[in-house]
This record gives sequence, structure tokens and C-alpha cells, in this order.
Amino acid sequence: MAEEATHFGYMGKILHIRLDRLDYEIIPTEKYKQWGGGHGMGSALFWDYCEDKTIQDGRNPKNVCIVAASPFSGTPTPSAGGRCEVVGIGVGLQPIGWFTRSNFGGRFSSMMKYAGWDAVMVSGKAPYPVWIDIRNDAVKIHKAKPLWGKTTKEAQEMIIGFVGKDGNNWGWDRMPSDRGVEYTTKKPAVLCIGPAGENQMAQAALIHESSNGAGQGGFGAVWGSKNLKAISFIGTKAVKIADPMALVEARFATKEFYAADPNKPDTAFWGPMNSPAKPVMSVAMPTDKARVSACHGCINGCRGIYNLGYGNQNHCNVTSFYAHHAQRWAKGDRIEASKITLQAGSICNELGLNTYPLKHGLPWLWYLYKKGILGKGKQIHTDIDFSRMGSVEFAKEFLHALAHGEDIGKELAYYGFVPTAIKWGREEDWKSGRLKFTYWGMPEHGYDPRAELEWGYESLVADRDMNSHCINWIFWHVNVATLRGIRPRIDAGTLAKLVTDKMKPWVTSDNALNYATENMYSDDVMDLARWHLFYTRYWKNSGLLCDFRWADLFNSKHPELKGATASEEAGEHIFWNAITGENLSFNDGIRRGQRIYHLDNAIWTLQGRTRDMLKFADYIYDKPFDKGHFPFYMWPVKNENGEWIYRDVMHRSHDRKKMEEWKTRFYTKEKLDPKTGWPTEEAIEAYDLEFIKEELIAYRKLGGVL
Amino acid sequence: MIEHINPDDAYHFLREVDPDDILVAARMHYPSGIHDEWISTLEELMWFLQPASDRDIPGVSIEGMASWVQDAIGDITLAKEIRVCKNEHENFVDACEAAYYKTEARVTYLKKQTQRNSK
Repeated sequence: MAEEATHFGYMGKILHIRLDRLDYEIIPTEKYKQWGGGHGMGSALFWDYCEDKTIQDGRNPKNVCIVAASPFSGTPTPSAGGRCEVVGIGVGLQPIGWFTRSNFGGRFSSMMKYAGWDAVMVSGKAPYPVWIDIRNDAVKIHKAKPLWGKTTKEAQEMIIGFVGKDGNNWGWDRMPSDRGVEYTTKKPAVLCIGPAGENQMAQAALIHESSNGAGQGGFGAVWGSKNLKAISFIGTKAVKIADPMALVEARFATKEFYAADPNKPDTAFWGPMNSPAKPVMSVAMPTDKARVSACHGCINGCRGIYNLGYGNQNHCNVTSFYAHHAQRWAKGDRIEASKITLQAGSICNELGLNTYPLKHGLPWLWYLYKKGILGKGKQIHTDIDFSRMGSVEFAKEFLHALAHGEDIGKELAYYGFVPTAIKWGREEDWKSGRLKFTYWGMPEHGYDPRAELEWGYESLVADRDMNSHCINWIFWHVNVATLRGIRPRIDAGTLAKLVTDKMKPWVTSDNALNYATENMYSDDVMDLARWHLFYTRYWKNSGLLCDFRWADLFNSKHPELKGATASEEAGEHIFWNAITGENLSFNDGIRRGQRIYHLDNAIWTLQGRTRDMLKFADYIYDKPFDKGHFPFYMWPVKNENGEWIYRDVMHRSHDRKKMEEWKTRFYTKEKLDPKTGWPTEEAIEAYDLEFIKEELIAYRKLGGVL
Repeated sequence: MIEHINPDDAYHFLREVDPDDILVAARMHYPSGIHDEWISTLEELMWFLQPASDRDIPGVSIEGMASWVQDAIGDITLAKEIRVCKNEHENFVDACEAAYYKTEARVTYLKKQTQRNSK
């Protein structure tokens, strides 16, 4: 019983697949619980098992890739049970492949837990293509020759058929178990790569089922470089929950105080739990014969299942990267454009392609084509017919080229858009923002760092586009209300107080939400960015709370407009403690996030990072944010009289000198060497990272005295 | 619109502008995100402005759009009408919807003029 108690929320073991040796070892989870799960656990495993942290390309066989669950995985924690984190050295980032992360939903992490594992780590390179078959404790490494070259859909179907005894998985499958033989009708959960990954394209994603993709970071290329086609989990165990009644009570509190009530629609709801289940699409619903689909344990179904035979579970950017082009092709017919878009999304899923670089990459290619620079026999030669852009046929041809490294795909998908632009002599397009890849060679997310400050700052001091919408909900609620001519549900001063109250003691003043131009580089705004960086590192990337629902910083359903975040009824830590039996405070979690950030920074340091590398693309400094896009970007600011109002924060650029000063103050506050950004003795002591010191010294990367 | 447009001008207004003159706008699709739309013709502007779901709002400056219609397309009349839409409506969404109907009417008219030429 005592042994079981130590594993509440955890399964107790981590699977390490040593691909070069075609064997595996079992690592006890115990040592890694201090990092929570997901990202933190992955970073710690990476530190311990990656023997050479100076590598700068994720395709290097020395790279170690970790796919990790969290204590929430496989439990009914609202919007947390199905997320899964991937970490390792990435591919396609700038100027090198940083140690980075990605995240996907579905049921992979829950099935991994049900099979008895908290994470799976792959190291080395297999001598030939393989896939990993895990059924409870039984682990087999199979040759993947029949799977190699297959799409993600075909590969998953083949694995499901192989694992299922009768080939279609409708029967009761015998499962090896520590309780003898057990049976299940469940399907295995498979994470795999498609042709894009096999060809080691920087744009390659890991795909689970349909459209659950770990796209950013190029982890599909990492798996391809390791000759790893797929990992399959199926299990019959359960996640032990320390205090089931506390979990149930927190769920009821969520429903009562914070979540939208489908029986009482509130179109002006403010807060992330604002809508009942509905597919998150950027295009029109292509058919009225559809149902919603959700990740494991989620209270919100944000994907759709359609009667079309394609487009299932496509959501977010997968439904937008091609939408505009399809609409042009379909001459404004939105239903037809939607069908084309969903088909293009499905092609990406099947080829194992990350759609995100195409968000800004495709319009740039279209521009080059229209200028007569790109095309058959042109300065940049391609046999792909860009006059058909927007059609399904073009999508098939172009995406196939990306996945297989053919035609212009050879450069675009293998190296990424920014290096290709430079190679093509189009660096100016990147610098000017025509090719809108804002930080670390990654596409801008939609929220320009000249207006939405925390998004830019956090992306800059980390490794990739932050993609964490906790504070960004303000943009949506305030701007949608203003655009519709509706009075904002929560006034600016109240909102600033509600948000910053959640951030105490990290944030000491509501001025932290004041994004006025004169306050852009203030310590208060920096503290808000620091809080959010660390919140995200722990509660979302390590605890694996879904970005669509957390953090809940304000909530119009609550009688005092307070969000669930940090609350004593349904806060992050309430769920955490119910499941793990820990006595973790909300802020303990933020401190863990800070520690994880500093561990990540130590890895970036060993990889060769210096403070000079932390910079936006030139246009962020050189041009004001005032063209196209938005009518305005309303945000809480204090006016000249010190009163809180919502004001447009567009029409400005970042100042290089002030950003440099900001970096110095950030490093100083985080006890990092302000000259280099490297960890210092003081930081190592403050964040309890003694174990990193020896390696930093060995590589002469320990920062100077503050 | 009572002014007469000759077929040549109609073709001109309906043409695809030079890639350097495109209107970079965005679709604000709540809550899935912001998605750029590069608009190069009046007809594309019409599709962009077409009212869709209550979660779908054109992301563009109305004055920027009017300036583009005036300077890049060259249609001063429609540009004026778009500016009137902005002034006559209290909120952005309603102004955009009004601008859509103005643009739709204009595109329909311009197409008729070009068809007249082809006869």
C-alpha cells in the first residue's frame, strides 16, 4: 500500500528506448516527480540522458526525444487529461535547432499511463526503421519496413490491425498484465510520422490519430532521423487518484462557477471556459452532418467529426492555413472553400506535415509567383503550378513536394522558410516582414509583439513562438466587444486588478497589464511576462492543462468575475493535489516553472546561445505595427490621468536599445549573467540546480558573478 | 451608384493589383485565431467582407481599406462609399457589413459593364 501511495497520479516508471541497441530500460519515475511531468520531466530526462548537449540539429543521433504525460493525463481533470508534451533538440529553428518543445492532444498520454508509463524517451538511431509496440509492461521493437513510406493514417491503421487480434480490433484483445491475462476492446493509441518525417523535413510533425500533431520543433524529422516510425501504447491499468472526492468536488465547482452553461447561452461570456462544445474552425462548417470530438477527459469538444470522409478533428491552424487561398479558388463559395481547406488539412495530417509555417509561408510564395520570381523557368524554378493555388490539386502537389523533399520542397521543408529565403536572395522579405517569421525562425502567431507585449517577450527569452493564450484572451474579449459596439463586459481597471491579483507575489502592481507605449519596457510588464512564462512552463507544459482553457484569469460567470486559476475551489493546484496527494500551492507550481525555465536555459547555453541571439525579426523594430490586419488592438492602459481605459496599442514598433536594456534587467532579475544570459552560481543555488554546474564549468559556460 | 463606368474602367477596377499593392488584412476567427488574407481584387475584398458566422470578423482598418480601394484599385466612388459606411455606423461590424453590400453592388455593376463590352 505504501508503494502505491507514492505513485498517485504517476504510474511509477519511464520507458527508455535505446534505438541504437534495439533494447530498452525502465527508469523509475520517482526522481523526476519533482519536475511535475510533461515538459519539466522531459527537460530533466534530457539533461540526464543526452550525453552531448552542444548539438545544434535535432537530426543528430545523439539527440534524445522525450514524450511525456503528466499526473493529469488519463484523469478527468477538466481540459487536461489528454495533452502530451514532446521535448528534445528541434529542427528548423533559427539560428540553430534549439532544445525545444511541442504539445498535442488526443488520448496518447492517457493510454501511455494506462499501459503503466509516465513518459517514453528515445535515444540513439535504430539501424533500420522500427516501431515500438507497448502493451502494458510488454515492450517490443518491431521492424517497420511494411510501415515505412506509409501515411500516418495508413500506418496507424496497420498498427491497430496488428495489435488487434482479429485485424479490425472489434474483438476482445488479450493483454499481458501483472494480474495475469486481461482483455480490452480499446484501440491502441499511436504516435507516428509520415513521409515528411521519414524524409527528415524540418516541417515534419508527430501525428496521433487525426490532427493531433506535435508540429512546432520539427520532431517528425527527429523521429525520422532515428528511424523511428511509430510508438503504440495500449493498457488496462488505471491512474491512482489520491483523493477522488476532492477531484469530483473540484469538477463540480468548475461547472458551477466557471464553465459556460449550455442551457444558458451567454454570447458575451468573458473567460476561456466560455463556450459549449463546438469545433474550432476557421472556415464555414462544410456539412450539417457533424459532431464534436474532444481529447480525453475534456469538458470541451473543440474538434469536429464530419460525414465527408476527410477533415476529421482538423482545427485551429489546420483549418486556416489554406482557407484564404481556397476561398479565392472557389470564388467566394465558403462551403466549397471549407471542403478544400479540410482536404488540404487532411493531406498535411497524412503526410505528417506541420501546417504552421504555411500560415505565412504560402502567401509569401504566392507573392513571389505573382511577381514573376517563382515559377517554371523563373529565377526560382518550380514545376509546381502556382496558378492552381487554392485547389485541392495544388495542395496535393505542393504538400507532396514538401513531404518528400521534391522541387522547392527540398529547401523549404528541409531547412525552413527563413534559411530558404536567404538562400534565394530574398532575405529582405524576412527583414521587412513580408515573410512574417518573427522569432527563432518561426512564424508570427497572429498577435504582434509590438502590441501584445507578453507574447513577444516570452517568445524571445525562450525557444519558439510562445503559443500560450492565457493573457491573450484579453485581446479577444475586449476587441470583439469593441468591434461589435458592445460595452466591454469588464472595465479595464477591474480587469487589470483581476488579472494581476492572480499573479501575486510575482506581480506587485496592476500596472503590469498597462501596455501603454510609455510602459512597454517597465519592470511591471516584465514581471507579468515572467509570471506567464513560468506559469506556462509548469501548469500548461508540464501539468499539461490545455491552452484553450487555462489559465482562467477572469470569468464573467463568477459572481466576483474571478477566474478559476489559483482559486481554492477549482484552481490548478486543487486538481493537482487531489490527484497526486501532494500539498502543492499554486505558486509552488510557478516556482517549479521558473526552475524548469532555468534548466532549459542551461541547455540552450550549452548549445551555444548568447544574449545577442535574442532578437525579433528586423521589421518589429523598423516598422510600426499599422498596416492591414486590425482596425485596432485594444488593450487595458492607464491614460494620462492615471485612469484605466481600453486603448489601441497598435502604431508602434519596438526600440532596439530599450529591448537591450530590458534583456539586461530580465537577466539580472533572473540571476543570469547579463552579459551572456548564461546561468550563474547564484542562479544555480537559487533554483536548486546544483547538478548542472559541473557540465557548465566543463564547457566554460558558467556565467560571471552578477 | 449613378455614375456610368465604361467597360475599360470596369475591367481596370476588377483587375488584380500588383503584388506590391495587395491589401494585407486578416480574418479574426474567434477563438481559433488571426489568419492573414492577402487581397488583390475588389471581388476578393467582397468575399472577405461577406458576413459569416458570429465568430468571424473581418480584421482590417476601414480607412485603410478605403484608401486601398482608392489608391490601388483606383475606384474613388467606392472608396467614398466605404468611408460613408464607417461614418454612418456606430460599430465596426455593422460598418463592415454595410461596406460589403456596397462592394457587392459595385462588383456586380462592374461585371455587368464588362459583359456589355463582350456583347
